[in-house]
Amino acid sequence: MPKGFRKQLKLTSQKVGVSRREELLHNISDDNGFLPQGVHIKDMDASFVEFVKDELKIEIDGETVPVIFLTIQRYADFTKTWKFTDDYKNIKMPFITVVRNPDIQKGTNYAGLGNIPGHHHWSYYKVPTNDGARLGMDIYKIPQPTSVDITYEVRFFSNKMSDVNVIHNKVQRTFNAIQAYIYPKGHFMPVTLPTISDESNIEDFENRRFYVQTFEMLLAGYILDEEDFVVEPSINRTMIMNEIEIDPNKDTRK
Amino acid sequence: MAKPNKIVPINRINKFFSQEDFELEIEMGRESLEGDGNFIVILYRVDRELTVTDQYGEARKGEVVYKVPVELSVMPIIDEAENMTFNSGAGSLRDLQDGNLKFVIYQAHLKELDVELTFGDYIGYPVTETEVRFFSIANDGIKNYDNEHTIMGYKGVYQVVTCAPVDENEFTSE
Repeated sequence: MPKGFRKQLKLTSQKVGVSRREELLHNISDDNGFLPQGVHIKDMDASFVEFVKDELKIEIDGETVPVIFLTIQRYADFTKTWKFTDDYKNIKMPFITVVRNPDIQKGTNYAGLGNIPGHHHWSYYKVPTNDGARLGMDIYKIPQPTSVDITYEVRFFSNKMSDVNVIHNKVQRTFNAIQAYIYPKGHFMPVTLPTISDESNIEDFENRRFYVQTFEMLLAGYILDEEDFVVEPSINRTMIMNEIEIDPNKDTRK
Repeated sequence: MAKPNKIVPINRINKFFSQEDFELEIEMGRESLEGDGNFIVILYRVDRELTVTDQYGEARKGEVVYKVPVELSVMPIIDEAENMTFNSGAGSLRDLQDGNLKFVIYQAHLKELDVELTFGDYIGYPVTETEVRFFSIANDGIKNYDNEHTIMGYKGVYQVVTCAPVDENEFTSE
């Protein structure tokens, strides 16, 4: 490869400073006017699966290892796996599964602190208004997001040690700065990797044997419900009218 | 395995059971198993010199090189397929796993074919005319001198071979 060869060309310049902050704000509001987009648990689930598909994407023998988000319905199980199955509808190794723990815990997104009591709404944006006669201002208010901790179990299945190396290499490099990020609806949320464990089915010599590597990932997310957003009219431009009456008989001169 | 230089005669139960009786029993048994039963499995002996492996000694699909396949006449016992899940904790991702294959084979048959079963070799069992399921030998049953595998304790007659199912990406005969 010649010296100075570039793999990727930056065709659009990256924004920095104030422009970047405005871009982030725009990403959060997107098409939602001046308000941020609401973010719910399903949005975090979808974003996490995308994170696993994109950031933890690995290829083995020239093929991308499939990522499957699993729940308990058997039909859904088959619907998600049929492309990767054999004649007996068994999925073929290697593959990655994502299972979300159903129990969602109180969040640690605010470093373990809770919300300010009272379900207050807080000013987010001031929007100028004009009703045709008077200029005014609406105040858009949002509640404090409710932080939640969601645990995902990402499992890698394979029957080759060299494949196990590939996934560990990818995961360790992705989390080498302690946390990675997902951004459901433009909201950046950290994902950490508390534990890595081995559930390999290799203890029985007279049975089918394969490796299972389990990566427990913790998403420190939050819920922001758009139904709780409030728009309040604020002060309008005040018109002060003074009426002055002048008595022509009265000499005001002194 | 200790192999003395001298041949030690086996004189157990020789008052009423001789080597000729032993061979007759085997012949009758083999006629029943090979002649009447005619259950065939295919033995794929891995060529351990030509097979390409990585530093862990593992081969990928298509990298296992095997010697000329050999048909074996056996008495197969196939366990029922087990309906399991890969995610055992979450109970998801069904895996209808093949049961183990066990088969009984006469040592005399192996001797005739001049083949030796080794754990790690592959066994193909044709379940239909168009499909072969593959297994890996987990126990070649070579130690067959216990009471059950002998005729009245005289000498070992047959081996019971235990095979575990293998995934497609480990071995196929293609």
